Amino acid sequence: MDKRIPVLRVEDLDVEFRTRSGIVRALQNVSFEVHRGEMVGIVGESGSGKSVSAMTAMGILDPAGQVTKGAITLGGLDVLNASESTLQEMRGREVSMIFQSPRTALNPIRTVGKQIADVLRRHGSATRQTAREMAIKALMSVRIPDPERRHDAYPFELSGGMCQRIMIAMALSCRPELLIADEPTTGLDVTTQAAIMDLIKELAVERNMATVLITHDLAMAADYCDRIVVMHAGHVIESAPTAELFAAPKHPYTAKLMKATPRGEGSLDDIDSIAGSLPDLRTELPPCRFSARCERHEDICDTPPLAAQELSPGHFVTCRRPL
Amino acid sequence: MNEFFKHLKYVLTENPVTLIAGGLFMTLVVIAVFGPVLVPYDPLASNAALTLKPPSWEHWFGTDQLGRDVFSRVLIATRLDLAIAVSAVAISFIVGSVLGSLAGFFGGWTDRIVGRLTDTIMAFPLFVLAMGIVAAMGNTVENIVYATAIINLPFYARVARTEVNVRRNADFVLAARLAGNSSLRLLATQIYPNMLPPMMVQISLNMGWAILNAAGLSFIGLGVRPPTAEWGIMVAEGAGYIVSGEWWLALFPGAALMLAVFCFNLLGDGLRDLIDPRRRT
Amino acid sequence: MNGNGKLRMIIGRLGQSIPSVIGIIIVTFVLTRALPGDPAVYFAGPAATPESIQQIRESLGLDKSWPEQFLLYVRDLATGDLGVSISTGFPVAEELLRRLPASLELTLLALIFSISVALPLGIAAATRPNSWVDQLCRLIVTAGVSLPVFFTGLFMVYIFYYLLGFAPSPLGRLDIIYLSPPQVTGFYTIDALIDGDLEVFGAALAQLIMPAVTLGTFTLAPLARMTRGAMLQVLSSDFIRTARASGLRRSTVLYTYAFRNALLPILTTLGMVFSFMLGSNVLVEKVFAWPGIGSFAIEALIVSDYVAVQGFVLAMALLYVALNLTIDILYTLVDPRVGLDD
Repeated sequence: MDKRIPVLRVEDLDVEFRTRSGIVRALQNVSFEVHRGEMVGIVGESGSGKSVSAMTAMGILDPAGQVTKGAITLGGLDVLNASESTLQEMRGREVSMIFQSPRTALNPIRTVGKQIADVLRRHGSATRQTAREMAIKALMSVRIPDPERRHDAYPFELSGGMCQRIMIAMALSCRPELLIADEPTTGLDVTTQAAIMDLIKELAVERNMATVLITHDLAMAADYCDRIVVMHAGHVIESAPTAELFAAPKHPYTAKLMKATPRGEGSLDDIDSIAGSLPDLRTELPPCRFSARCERHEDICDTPPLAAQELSPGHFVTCRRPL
Repeated sequence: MNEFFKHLKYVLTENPVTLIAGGLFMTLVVIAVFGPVLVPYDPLASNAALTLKPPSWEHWFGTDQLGRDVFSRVLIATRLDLAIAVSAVAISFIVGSVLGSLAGFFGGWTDRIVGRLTDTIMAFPLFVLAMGIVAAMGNTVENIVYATAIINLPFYARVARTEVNVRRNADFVLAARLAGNSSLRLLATQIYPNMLPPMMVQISLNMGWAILNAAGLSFIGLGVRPPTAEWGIMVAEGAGYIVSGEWWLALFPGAALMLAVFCFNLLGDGLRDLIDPRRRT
Repeated sequence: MNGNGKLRMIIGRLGQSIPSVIGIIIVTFVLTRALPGDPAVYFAGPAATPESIQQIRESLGLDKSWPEQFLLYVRDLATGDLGVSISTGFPVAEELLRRLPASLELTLLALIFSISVALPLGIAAATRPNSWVDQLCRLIVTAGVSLPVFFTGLFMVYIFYYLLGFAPSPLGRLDIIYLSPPQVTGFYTIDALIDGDLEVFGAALAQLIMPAVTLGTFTLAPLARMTRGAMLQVLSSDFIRTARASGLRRSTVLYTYAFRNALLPILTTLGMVFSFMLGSNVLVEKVFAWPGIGSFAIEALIVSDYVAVQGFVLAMALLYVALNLTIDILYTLVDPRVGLDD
């Protein structure tokens, strides 16, 4: 199989939200690719559009949101033009997603085993008779001790880390080609965070699965991801292989992020050394949404169009005056 | 104050229904107060020649089995029905909110006793309890008021208790306490006035329910006696004539009831929008 | 939580209702005995002579001290003695029991009607916000809360019986040309079916429809409102997002995941709905001349038969406690988290 055909490709995606206070241009010209076997990290501050991109790719965007431009291809399927039933077949089987706050992301009045079984049975990976057995197998694959007993437990009886393993088990039960992990370790303690990330990485390698890791923890992205996509205010401003990004960031914003969170320290939500705040996405904005906070800003930055350039193989930057 | 009126204007214009409810409310009050002056006919005057006439230009709502003008009776009944509801709610509110405030403020045994009291009342289906109270105390209009007041008490007690509990440890209370105010004084002057706005919402919503209750009690023959004009008893008297097709005896008092209850419910919803801080922009 | 834990919780709930029962007994005692004036006069009735009043006073123990009276009262209750009705001459307990099936049949049918309309309506309104279904739901909720139940009943009679002629005459459980079926449960519909008499079954059902719909319409409003509200809230929660992201079918997400969770606040509302229902039962029975315990109470009120009225109040209150207990237990069974803070 040609390794170069991406499992997920997002091309020039524009997403708008209709709200009471106006139209929010949440995403603009967002493009990125994920290949089989690689883990791509999408990093950015809160509100940069990371989750919206993922939800759009899955086809579970909030009804107030609308795709106004672009294309998303998932394993050959044109997501934006597919029917809801096709998408439903795809979700949980070809692509799965796990979320933060695993305790609230699970049905509180249904045993975890039954929840995994629901997914298995939905996609034909199990029948009513084999469901329990397959669910227990899924629990074992995520290294949950005493899986027979845990199968009949309720989420409130389990720890946060355990619940996240359950979610992973559910997500991977039908062997998807792509796993999207949206802040999977937020809210967990540091040791559990590492354990969960190790588990995800291990399973991804084992199954040659493509993974998207959405996080505001730059250090975590550095530790686990092969490529990193940096987002700011609904734009993809830089994307590169991890090592290269950290060695030589080309976008002023990326450079600031690196400085603000040196390896192993802090998350992007703690930074205050980047002056100013995210622009108001309801207003008319310049082509580069970082201009207001950028020290390198000059008039040329305000002339549209602003497209991504490939400065070196695999290293893309969206900036008029890259470093 | 200016803030309040700005917000009032916003709520009223945002939701025209509240405006309509407000207008309806004023109309009801006017009718209640000026009833005797407004009626075209004497509500108690019977006329053997004009019995059971359908609605016409002379008699907008028709005449009843004794030849009395239904329109006049419906108008006059407004005063009695509103009076019953207002008195019941007033008693309910005063007693209930005081008990609830004491319970919420002092906690401990006070809370337990008040809690037991409200729980016991709520252990009964409320209308049935009202029936029992009127039966025990005597079949008069006053007792209808007291019975309705008693069964509505728990609502006010509970809301008051919660509101006081929430405010008990607020900064302004602590400041007043430091200034040397005694507990009761604190409760009366600082906390109680502050929780009146949410209570107003309860009162408005409760009025509708109180009216329905009182009408229900008079429908089954309690409290009001003929020939008094009251919506509930008028519907009861008109009920017998429905099967022979004389619908106007029961429809108009019933519709009046519905309008009054509807008005108070809408008003309560509107007040809630006005007062609930979460809705403030 | 295992079966043993659930059982213990159910027993705990049973225990929790004991204070309510005690409160009810005390209140009814106060209402019957601690009246202003001479209770004996009340009990003797309006046609009493001084001799009969004295007789009543002695037989009911009204000349004894209050604690003694209370004990006597409780003893009587324990043996099922609710006194003797002045108007009929029969023991109150017997009268109530005889008329109970009529009320139960009516209330049960009303409840079934109410639930089968309110729940789907609420769910549909929640899944199609701002559609015509949603507006209809909101209209029904607002109107339903404002309409007096006796008014709805009367107008149903007017439209369906007088104007359209669909419905049978609103004069009780069965048209006089029919004989009531042999008594098994007391429910005419079920008894007719057991007897194999389809004609009587149809006639009984026809008489039931209008009063049941009237009673049910009144309770429809709070139920539909709560269903819509609860569904809206649940549908926006995290675990529904996970369910959708896992590709679960719409029906699975809606019913197995969303609705079951929404059921919890709906069950709680049901408790409040029962309070309205038991009260409105009385009014509906009057409008439709339904020979249940409600009309028994109304007749008793008119002839000042206070013993009967108080027996009625006590019976209804105990029924209400039992209903609430059932809901509590149902809640416990649905929600595995209950009992964590006991």
